[in-house]
Amino acid sequence: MADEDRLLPIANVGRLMKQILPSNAKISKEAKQTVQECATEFISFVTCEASDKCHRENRKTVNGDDIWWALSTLGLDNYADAVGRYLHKYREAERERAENNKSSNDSGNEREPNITSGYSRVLEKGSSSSAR
Amino acid sequence: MVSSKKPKNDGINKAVGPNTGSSGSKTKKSKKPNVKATVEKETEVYEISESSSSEARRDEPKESNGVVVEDAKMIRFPMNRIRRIMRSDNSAPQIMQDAVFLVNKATELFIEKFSEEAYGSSVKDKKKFIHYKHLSSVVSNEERYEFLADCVPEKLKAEVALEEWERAMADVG
Repeated sequence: MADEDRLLPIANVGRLMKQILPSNAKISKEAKQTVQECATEFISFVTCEASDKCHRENRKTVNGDDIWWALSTLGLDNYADAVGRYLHKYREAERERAENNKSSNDSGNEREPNITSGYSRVLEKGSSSSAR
Repeated sequence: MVSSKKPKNDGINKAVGPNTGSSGSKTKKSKKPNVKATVEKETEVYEISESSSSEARRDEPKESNGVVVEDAKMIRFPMNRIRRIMRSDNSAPQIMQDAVFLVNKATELFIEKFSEEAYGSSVKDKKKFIHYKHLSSVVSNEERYEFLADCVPEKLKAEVALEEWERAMADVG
């Protein structure tokens, strides 16, 4: 796996930072790379905790609730709260999608019964921007 | 929940491989006019779509449960990359889609918070740029960032490090 692939795309990281910070804020390249690594570490950290929980409970699959639990347990409660709402919204959207697919099962590719299908076409843009 | 179809995630992304080389925002848009509007506004944000219909328009924010619905659907990072990172050192054989989504959102929040704090540190330091040291100072001052201590250690000058090392050796010897 190429080194860049094990990290989040730096372009996305940079854009997100720019968006959240005041417009006069400037970020050094080294700082941006560091945030990129930290964000990647954050993902591993949370996933590891969630994964351990699954092991303890003899489950093979990590689900959204496990992630939510991991965030709370790791003292990242403010994320857990916000993320709890997203989880709810996400599941709602999934239910709606499943219902729509059932009722109108035409072959349009937007109707694939997979939540990733709709955005997957633009997804690769993020990956390609990281390759720059 | 579409959990049973998880392993297809990468397959689906591969299937849209031909898009990779392009700038992304201008291709395939004939099929997804909503996403085109979305992408042209903020090219780096991906929309989780059931916007196959025109309901989930970004220009129609709907509030529900205090969370703007459109915001809930926006993700910042490619799901396949998030998933790959999640799988890399962990033994979780299967990861459900909603878990990947949540990690995506949580990571977004993490970066936002972390950046804000680093910015605060740079302001205190009266610097125009956010530098590495602002990040490392945030990490060493806040307990909840302890997991990043190895990632973002405080930098020491070589002579200071050497002194400390010699002292440690003397203690051991």
